[in-house]
Amino acid sequence: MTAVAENSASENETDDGAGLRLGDRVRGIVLSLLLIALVAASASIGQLGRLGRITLIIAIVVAVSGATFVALNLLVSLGRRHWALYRGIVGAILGGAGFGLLRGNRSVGSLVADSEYQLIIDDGSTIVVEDQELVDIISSVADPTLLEFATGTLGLVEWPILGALLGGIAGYMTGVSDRRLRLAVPSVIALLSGWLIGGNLLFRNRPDASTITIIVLAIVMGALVAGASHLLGKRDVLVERALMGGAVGAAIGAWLLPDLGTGSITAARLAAIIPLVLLALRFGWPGARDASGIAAFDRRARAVVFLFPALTFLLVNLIVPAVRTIITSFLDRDSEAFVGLDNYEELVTSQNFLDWRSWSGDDGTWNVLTSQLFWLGLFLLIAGLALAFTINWTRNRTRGFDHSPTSRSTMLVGGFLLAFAFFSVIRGTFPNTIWWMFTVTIGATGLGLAMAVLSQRAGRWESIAKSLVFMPMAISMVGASVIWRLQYAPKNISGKQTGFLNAIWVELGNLSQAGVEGGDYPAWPRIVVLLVLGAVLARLGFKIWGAWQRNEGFAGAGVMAIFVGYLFVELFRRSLGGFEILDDGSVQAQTIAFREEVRPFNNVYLMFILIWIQTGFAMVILSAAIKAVPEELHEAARIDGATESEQFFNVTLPQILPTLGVVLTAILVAVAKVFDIVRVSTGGNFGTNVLAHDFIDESFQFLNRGVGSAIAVVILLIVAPVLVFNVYNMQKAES
Amino acid sequence: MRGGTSLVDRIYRKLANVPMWAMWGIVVIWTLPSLSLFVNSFRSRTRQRQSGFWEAVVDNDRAYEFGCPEKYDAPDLFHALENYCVVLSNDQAAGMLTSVISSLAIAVPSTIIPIAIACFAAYAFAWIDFKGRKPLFIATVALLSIPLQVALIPLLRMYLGGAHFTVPFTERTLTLVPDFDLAGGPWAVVLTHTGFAMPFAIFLLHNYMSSLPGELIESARVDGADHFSTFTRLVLPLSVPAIAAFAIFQFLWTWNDYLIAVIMLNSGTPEVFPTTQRIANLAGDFGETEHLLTAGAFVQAFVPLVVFFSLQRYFVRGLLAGSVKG
Repeated sequence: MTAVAENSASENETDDGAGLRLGDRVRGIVLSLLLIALVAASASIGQLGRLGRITLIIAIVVAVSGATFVALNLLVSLGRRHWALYRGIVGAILGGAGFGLLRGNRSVGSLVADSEYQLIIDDGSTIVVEDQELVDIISSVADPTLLEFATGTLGLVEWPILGALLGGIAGYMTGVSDRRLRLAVPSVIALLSGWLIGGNLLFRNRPDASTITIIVLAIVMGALVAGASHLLGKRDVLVERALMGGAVGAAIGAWLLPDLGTGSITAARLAAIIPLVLLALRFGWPGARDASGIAAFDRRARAVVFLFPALTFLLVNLIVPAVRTIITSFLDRDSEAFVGLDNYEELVTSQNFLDWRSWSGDDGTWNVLTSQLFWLGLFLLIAGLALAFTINWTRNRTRGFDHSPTSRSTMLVGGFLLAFAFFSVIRGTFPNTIWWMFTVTIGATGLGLAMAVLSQRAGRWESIAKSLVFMPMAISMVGASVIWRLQYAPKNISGKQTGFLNAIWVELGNLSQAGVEGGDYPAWPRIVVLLVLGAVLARLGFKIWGAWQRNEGFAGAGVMAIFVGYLFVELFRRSLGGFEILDDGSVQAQTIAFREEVRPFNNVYLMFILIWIQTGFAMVILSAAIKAVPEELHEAARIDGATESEQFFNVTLPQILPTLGVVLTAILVAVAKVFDIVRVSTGGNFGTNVLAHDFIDESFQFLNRGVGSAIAVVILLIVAPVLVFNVYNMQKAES
Repeated sequence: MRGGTSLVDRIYRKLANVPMWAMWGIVVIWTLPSLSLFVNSFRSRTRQRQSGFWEAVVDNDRAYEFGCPEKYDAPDLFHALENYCVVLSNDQAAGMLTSVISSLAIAVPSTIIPIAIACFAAYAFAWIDFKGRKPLFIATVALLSIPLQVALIPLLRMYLGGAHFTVPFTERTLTLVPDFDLAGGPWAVVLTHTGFAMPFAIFLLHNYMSSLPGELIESARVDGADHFSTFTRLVLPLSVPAIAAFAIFQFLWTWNDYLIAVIMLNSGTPEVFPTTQRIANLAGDFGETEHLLTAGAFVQAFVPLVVFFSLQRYFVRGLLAGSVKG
């Protein structure tokens, strides 16, 4: 990753991969025109009010957020100079928030607790009780969950205000210079706050805590923390650490261990007071700050202020939901009962997820053996291997495995086709997802690399060619699916085809049937095309022969020869293109329903939509990486007599390998979650469902949160290797 | 290869240049579908169904139909073109303008808010020396490759009912965030986008900010500037290229998003649907509105295409600096 970053950092203005460029003025005019058109258009359909409202809300949100950030920073700056004031403000904020949270959750009742209690029984009727002891008696005999204090004289507004006041004073006093004041006043306020909280707790929240447990736990935790910091060499903050540990221990003893809802008011008060006082002491304890203390405070506080919003979003919007999804994947469809691995079992064993039925034919043989793709792939693989083992021997009588592009690319293509053949017989959402990742990643990166290399030779046309290939990046997957469905959709053969793919296919059929008896087409176009193809084929053969003689690679020409040869043979046999011969011998055009019919390869046509989008991304990044390869390396290779393809494979490719890794992983992760294309193109029908689409179906259509979450976790597991790889790379780069 | 400068030789060399043919082949395949959409969006329903877009060029038989049907209350500006005047009208089924505004209501805050937040965080990771910086940064970047699906449903439930926290070992549930009724409105989408954009934004901006010369930041510090003023007066202005790059990236991403919108706005009224959702719904009902799909898809793609082509340079630079979108 850093390799790319460095590339881009060293990139100068004129060399950024793609670009039809517009001047700043043109850009400004275009964007303002767009804005004016938007306002005019929304005014004409009566949506101007909505537009204005939205703009206003966005402005307010942005302004308030910005102001908060600036205020927090000013607060930290204040903390450098006026420590007590800073502590006071922070204390006020924390106190207000804490008291507000308690009251907002109806954990505490009205503030003036001892004067009058209103008890609400579960049928909604209220009893007014004035005697404190009576309340305790009622609470001890009745089911405490049935009783609840209603709002008293002090409510949602007063609690936070009081909290802010108390917190503010306590905070301010922890920052004054007199140590006795620092310790005493906040402790007293903590005592008061604890008294208030404990006394106002609803019955169902009163902990049945024993004071001894609280104190013992506080001491144990304090000692543990102190011991740990002693061992870690943090001796200067030993007391603070111990007090903090004590506070946490006391809180655990007071609130987590005992049962809630059965305690007395005294126990509740003590449970609130002890941790709070320990906390107050912890903040009152530290001595006067020196310059390095102020600097350390500044660093820490700034880090918190700068990171807090981002980390909150990461935690709330990413980490916590992800953990919850993992948990719900072990719960039943309504997330109520724990079901262990049942969801995963249901998912993995369903034919929708993994379908082996096409794997073996009726006679028990592998179905894959009947696929042309399989045999072609196997042939290329073996041919590549044979070439690699023999080429050195036949050329110059030396032994050894050949690593030249010729043998390697033959093997790669063979392996690719073999994988395709296997994917085509294992059906289901899981293999489909893997197939998508495999094909789109390799396809987009390969084509992007090809474009990056080839466009360099296009001279002044380079930027236009690149911009056109890059353009689909700006189009949404939904839009792209709509665009391609127009091309894929077949029309009734009685009319014309409107998608260019079917149009070409039908025309090819006409061409290969040209000149047959009773046909509508003259014979000469087929003859002409055959001659041209033959000439090209001859030329390619000549080229390959020459390359072989000169010990040069011939992979490109070989691939071209196979392709042209295929066209030639098919056209010669009159079997190219879309047509069928009816029983009466007449010829009829035939179309391809790309999205529905050619199963399972309709998947590939959907994948192509994503390749269409992603190729530009791969091209731009790889192009920049290729341009960053030092020219001296090419120069040296040229002097050594390397051909252009040898230069590419032996000089360029190793240099751009890290970038290639980045592109591959980025596309891989993007493909794993592809949903839009499948949704818009086929809706997951015709055997094109993938995990990310199935996830939506399970969660929203079948309302099975358990299995839906399990699918999400499976997607996470699929990309987990990439995640680990990224972290590994980062760690390497950071150190 | 033969030398020579005669015309025949030059033509031969051009024709025999197989790689160039391959490249222009790719370019044509990559351009034709968009071109087809564009041309077809100006053709009438019958034309679109009867012949391919390429025939629009040779077709002198009124390929373009002018005039807008009375029932569509479209802006005068667009009255010339039939498909567009339906698509840019108030039409219940196919009117796109409402959803253009909805898309803006999502995409604009989803671009601004993450940029601000990520700038703060990127600065902290790059220039504030605090404990645990490295592992925290690596953990943040590791979240890049988390698939959105993993987080979506719990997020939706949070927007539906507020955030609650069940205290461990007790039966008590504490409400941390009350139910603001966010689901079904743009802010649920915006908040989701903000969270999901964080890792990439921080990664990209951190890469850029940490490449700024350290002496510059040091000298500002020596002059008595605290982190806040270093950030606002020095680092932020210098980072404008990276910020612009991310802004374009994020705008395109959020404008073109369908997954998050379809999940978060499921319970909302059609008025809040962004363009992608509107197009997907149009594509879902076969037949009747098929001819409007071209114009609709073009309207949907128009804004990102303009942004893209006018600001392409920044966009490319952003891709290069980050080159990973989670």
